[in-house]
This record gives sequence, structure tokens and C-alpha cells, in this order.
Amino acid sequence: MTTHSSRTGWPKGANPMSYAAKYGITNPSPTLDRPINLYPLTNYTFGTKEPLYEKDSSVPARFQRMRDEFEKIGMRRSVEGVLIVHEHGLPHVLLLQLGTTFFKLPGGELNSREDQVEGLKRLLTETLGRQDGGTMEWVVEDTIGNWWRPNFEPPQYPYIPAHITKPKEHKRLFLVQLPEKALFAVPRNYKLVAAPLFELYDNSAGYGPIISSLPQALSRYELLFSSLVWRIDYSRPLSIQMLWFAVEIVQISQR
Amino acid sequence: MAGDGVDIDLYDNLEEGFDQDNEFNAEDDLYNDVITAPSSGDNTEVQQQSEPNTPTKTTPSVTVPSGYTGRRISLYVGNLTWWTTDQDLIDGLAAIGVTDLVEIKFYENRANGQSKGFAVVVVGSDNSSRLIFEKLPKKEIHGQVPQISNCNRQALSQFEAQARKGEPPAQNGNTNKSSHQRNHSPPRTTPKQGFVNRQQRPSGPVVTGPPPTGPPPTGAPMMPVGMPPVSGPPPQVQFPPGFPPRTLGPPPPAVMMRGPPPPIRGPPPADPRGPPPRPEWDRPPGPAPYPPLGPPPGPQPVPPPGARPPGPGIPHQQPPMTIPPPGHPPAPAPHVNPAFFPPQHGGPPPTMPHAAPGHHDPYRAPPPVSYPSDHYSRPPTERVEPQSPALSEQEFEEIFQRNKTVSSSAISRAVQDASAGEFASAIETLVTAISLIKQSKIASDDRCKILISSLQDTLHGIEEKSYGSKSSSRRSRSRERDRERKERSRSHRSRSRDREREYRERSRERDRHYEAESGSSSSRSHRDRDRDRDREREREYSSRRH
Repeated sequence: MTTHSSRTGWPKGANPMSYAAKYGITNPSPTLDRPINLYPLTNYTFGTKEPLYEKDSSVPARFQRMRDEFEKIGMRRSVEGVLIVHEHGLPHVLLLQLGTTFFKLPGGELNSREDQVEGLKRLLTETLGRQDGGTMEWVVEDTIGNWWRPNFEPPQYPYIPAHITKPKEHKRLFLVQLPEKALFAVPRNYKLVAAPLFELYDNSAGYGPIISSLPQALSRYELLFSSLVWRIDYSRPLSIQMLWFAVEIVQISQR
Repeated sequence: MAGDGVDIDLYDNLEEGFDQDNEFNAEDDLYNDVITAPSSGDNTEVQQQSEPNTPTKTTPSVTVPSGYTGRRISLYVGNLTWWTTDQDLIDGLAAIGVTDLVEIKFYENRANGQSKGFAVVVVGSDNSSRLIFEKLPKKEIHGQVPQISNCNRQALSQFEAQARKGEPPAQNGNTNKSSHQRNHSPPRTTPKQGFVNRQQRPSGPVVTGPPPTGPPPTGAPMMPVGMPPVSGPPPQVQFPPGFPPRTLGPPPPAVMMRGPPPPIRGPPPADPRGPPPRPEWDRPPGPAPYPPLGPPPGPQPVPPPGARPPGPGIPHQQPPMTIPPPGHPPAPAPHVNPAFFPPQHGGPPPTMPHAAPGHHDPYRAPPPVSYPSDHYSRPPTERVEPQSPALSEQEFEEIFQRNKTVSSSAISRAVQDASAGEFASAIETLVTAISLIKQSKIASDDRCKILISSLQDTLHGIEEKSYGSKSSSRRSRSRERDRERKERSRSHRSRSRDREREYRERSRERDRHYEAESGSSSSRSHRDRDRDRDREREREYSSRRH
């Protein structure tokens, strides 16, 4: 499997468009075909590290802490990252498995007044970051969704119900573009699993409403399954593609 | 479902009246399964948050900390619209003079978070409680007068019922509405109103015509309510069909509700509304922008509290519902793609009530589906039929299952007996089974007739066997018979065919077990004769079936 152009390659040349957008060239609708690069699961290595325990020991404790903090700082802001890889030609979402039945996305609570993207990067590094001192490059690409918790109770909804003026928690999901290769360290009390989209689809019994609706939320993206950086489309002039590749290299090196 | 299968109900704590449908399935938070089932503790939820006008404390921050230890007097405040917020209640209470509000907790539909229209209000003194009882019912909130009651099970169940009310009547109501003709009862019209409006919306521009004629009188009272678009039919045109209208949906219907409350009620509004909407509905629900809403009915097992006005005990609200009006084009655009309608005859109707009436019935989820009127005619008939014979579908199914069991066990037992040579008992078994099924309530149903005929066939087979020595030929004859019948039945329609085949195959398989290989020649002549006989019988069966 050497080179491979985008799986969902329409319109052709969508890839260069994103670079155009990055270079500031105005694009009527930059998000119309938002391309996201996915790399095979095998590109990534997973190590382990010390366990990372949840802040709350039980569900009542969790809600109690939520209440207390609500009084002090107001609505809790949570961020979660959706990390996607591909395997067998299908996108897979990386989930942390706690126990046998509970799955969650990497992320957590923001500190008061912390910026969302910075906070997410911090949390991702805390959860999955490598321990050997290497830097993790997290590229927070886009917001996938927002979920609100209207009361100090488990239910969350992707909207604020009409009668709620003060939701207690606001969770934001971000799409995180993974680098082509990376090393992750997974805390020992978690298992990192890659769930294919079909496993999540329509399976809110198994994963909850947020995770099970990820396939719908991700469907708007043009996912480019790459196994190598080089995606040569033989139907287009090669010289132009080489130019774009050069651009891409420069970009990657600058990240 | 992940988890230990524990049905965690955080809201068993009656003290706070948190009974939220017992529908906690921990789906949205599997974390709960991993840990334990907690009780939600004391809900000292502070409502006033940095609101300078909070009645209780003057400090902008949280007023009542989680450690509130004062008295807690709880009341139910109901009959609210689903968009009445906690802030609205706080403001209302402040205006009355209640200064020690501890907490407000709304009852919501777990499935979608929508408010059921009633809440628990906890205050810190009897005086406040008295004030609420006396004065709050005099204040209108979003056009509805709150109903106050003490916290007791009865009131809770009454509010829950009220919340749920929209659903069933809505079902019929919607269908009624859609069919335009069946304005069975005034209350029913309410949900329909939702539909009407919904459906009219897409054909926004067109709506302006008929609607105005509809309830002009009702329209008038509505106007004052103040929603600019609602002020008249024409404005409705402004609502672009499609999603934007949807957001406007609730408000407009809301307006309707608030406005003309008491005066308008009952059939009259419905009638004029009936015909006008119809033309609109016939227009292909153009932008049916919410196709996805079709299927969702599933997820809405708990219909948004229908607060079905008509009704019991609530003199005020109901009428507003009925009124809404065709005159209010602001109705949300139909959310349903007509394409969804046909496949879901059973499904949609139930969901319909949830959905469409949404706007009218304050507690219906607005978004959901509104079924184009064209399709309405179908569901109503479907729904009405099973119900009218006073034999619900479920009951029917039960009885049928029972009959099926009876017949299959009778056949197997009879065949066993016959193979063992005990023809008398086999015949008796079959005869008993036949009479049992014939006596059941659903004996006239096609499927039961098939059961009976298969039993009779087996019976004949065994009888003949018992009379003759040519057991093998009999067997093969019965096999032939079954095969022919099977072939015959293939030409018949669907379900009955399949089921018949299934039974035939079953009995045929059993026959095969006991069948002895026979010389075909001797039985051929018999087969021919039998074939004719069978054909006649087939014809008889088929005529019965059709």
C-alpha cells in the first residue's frame, strides 16, 4: 500500500483547497469539503504509564462536586477530543475504556478561564501524552459538537432545553487531527480502543448518546485515508502535485 | 446496554419528588454503571445566579449554598408551558413577594430534556408557601396560569398525566385533524392544531389565504399576545419554510396558546380550521425539512408532556390549544417527510401526537414529525380499526399466538398418536383443537382460519389412515395434498400464504417422518382423485380466505 489518493475524493483537488485556505486565500466556503487526514492505526504506537484516576470516586460524589463548583465558578466547561485513525478503510475513533463497559473520550474539565483549545491540549497530553519527554503535537481541527447538561444529573442533550436558563455543564467535542505517526502512553487503568464507526452508530445503549452520535457528526468531513503523506493523483499534472507536497512538507515541519 | 443492567433510578427520592418517569437507563452516562447507583442527594440547587433581581439575596452569586439547612417547604407548580424557564418562575415569585426561594427543579422528559411543564418549588417558610398558593395563580406566565399544589403523589400523578395527555389524544387528534373531517372532540383538535400549523407553514405563502378565513374571531384574540408574525395571517408568509421556521415554531404556537384562551374552545374552532388546512395539506408538504424526524418517533417513547389542555381540571389552558389556529401560519414547518409516512402507519401515528401537536400542546416536542394530511387518512383508519372491535391489537396477537400454539401442539400430538396407531385419540386431539380455535374471539380472522384448515387437513389425513390399510399411500396422498395446497397458496396473497405454507410444511414434515416409502403407482390413481378433491377444497379455502 504505497500511495493512495483520497478515498472520498470529490471534488478532486479538495486537498489543495485546504492548503489554500491555510494560506489565507479566500475560499467561499472553506468548510464545504473539510478534509481531515486519517492515518492507519498501525502508524501509532501505544505505551503505558501510571494510572490516571478520575477526580470523583463515585457518581454521587461527582454530582456533589459539580454542585459545589457550580456555585463557585458557574457552569462547568468540559472539552473532549475525537481522535480518528483508519483501519480496513473505515474510520475508527479512539476511546478510553474504563472497566469493561464504560467508554469515554479523552478530555476533561477546563480550569476557570482557560482557553478551550489550550485546555484540550493540556488534557490530551495528561491523558495520552508520552512520558519520555517528547512533545505531543495535537492539532485541534474543528468543533464537532456541543452538549449541555441541564441539571446535576446524568442526562446531556445537544441543545439547551427551553426551560433551562443555566445549564450546569457544557461539553464541547473537538476533532483532533493526529500527526502521521505518534507515540501515545495510555494510563494503566484505561484501555485504549479504536472503535469503528459502525460499532458506534445507533448504539447509544452501548456508548451513550454522545459517542454513539459521532458517526453522524463526523460524516460532514471528507476523510482522507492516507497511508503515506504522498498522495499522488495520476489524473492531475504531477508537477503541481509535487508542488503541493512540498508545501505540505513545509507545513508539517512548521507545526 | 452496557453496564450491569442496573436500572438506576436517581429519582426515587420522593421527598424531592424527582420521579422522572423512572426512565433512567444510564445510557447517557455509563459512568454510573461503573460506579454505583446513587441517590441524587439533596438538591439544594440554587437558582438565583448573579441575578441582581433575585428576590432572596442581594449578592449576585449563589444564594443558597449546598449546605442549606433551613426549612424546606415544597410545592408543585404546574400547568406551565415547556418553555417557561426557571428564571421566569423566579421572576414570578419575586413579583409576588416570595423572598426565601430555595430551589426550583423542573420535571423533564428524560429522552429529550423537554420540560413537562411542572416543577417543584422549594421555599423556606410557610408564609412564602401561602403567598404562592394565593398569588401565583393570578399571574400568567407565558399566557398560562400556574397551578399550585402540595407535594403529594396524587398531584404528581395528575401533573404527569396532564403532561402525557397530549400524546394519546394527540394521536387521534392529529389524525383527526389531518383527516380534516374527524373533529371528534374539541380537545382533540388541539394537537391537530399543531399539525395544521405545522403543515401550513411550509406552504407558508399559500396559507395566508385560507387561514384567515378560518378563525378570524379566534385570530383576533390571539393577536394581542404580541408575537408580531402572529398578528395576522400575512405575516406568516415570512416564515421561510424549512429550518428557520422551526425555531420560530414554538413561539408562534405559543402565542396562539396564550392568546385566546378561554373563549375559544371546542368544535367550532375546529371546523373552520378543518377545511382550510386541507387544501394546504394536499399540497405536497413541500419542504418537509425534517425527514429525520420521521424515524425518531422511536426514541420518544415518553411523549412530551402533552399538557393536553382539554381538560380535566384545567379550565384555562385547554382552549388556547384548540384555537391555535390555522390562522397562525407561524406554525412550524412540517417536520415530516411524507415519504416516512406510509411505512410507518403504526409508528408515526403515535409519534405524531408527540410531534406535531408539539407546538400547540405546549409539552409536545415541537420538532417531531408532522404527517402530511394525505397520509393522515391512512393512519387514522388503521388505528381506529383495531380499536373499534374492542379487541386491541395486542390482545389479538395474544389470542392468535395461543391458537397457534394450540394448533401446532395438537397436530404434533395427533401425528404421534396416529403413527403409534392410536387414531382415536389423535382425532380427538385435533377435533378439540379445532373447536378451541373456532371458539376464540378471533376465529373469523384469516390466520385463524388457516390454523383451523391445517388442523382439519391433518384430521382428514388421520381419519383416512385409520380407515384404510394403505397407510403409505395415504401418507403420500396427504403429502401431495399439502404440496398442492402449498402450490395453490402460492398464488394467494402474502401473509396468509406464508403462514399457511408454514403450517403445511410443518405438518408435511411431520408426515414425512412417519411416511413409508410407497410405490407411487398404486397411489397415483388415488392421488388423481385426491387432487381433484383437494383442488375443490383449495377453492373452498380460498373463497373463505378472500
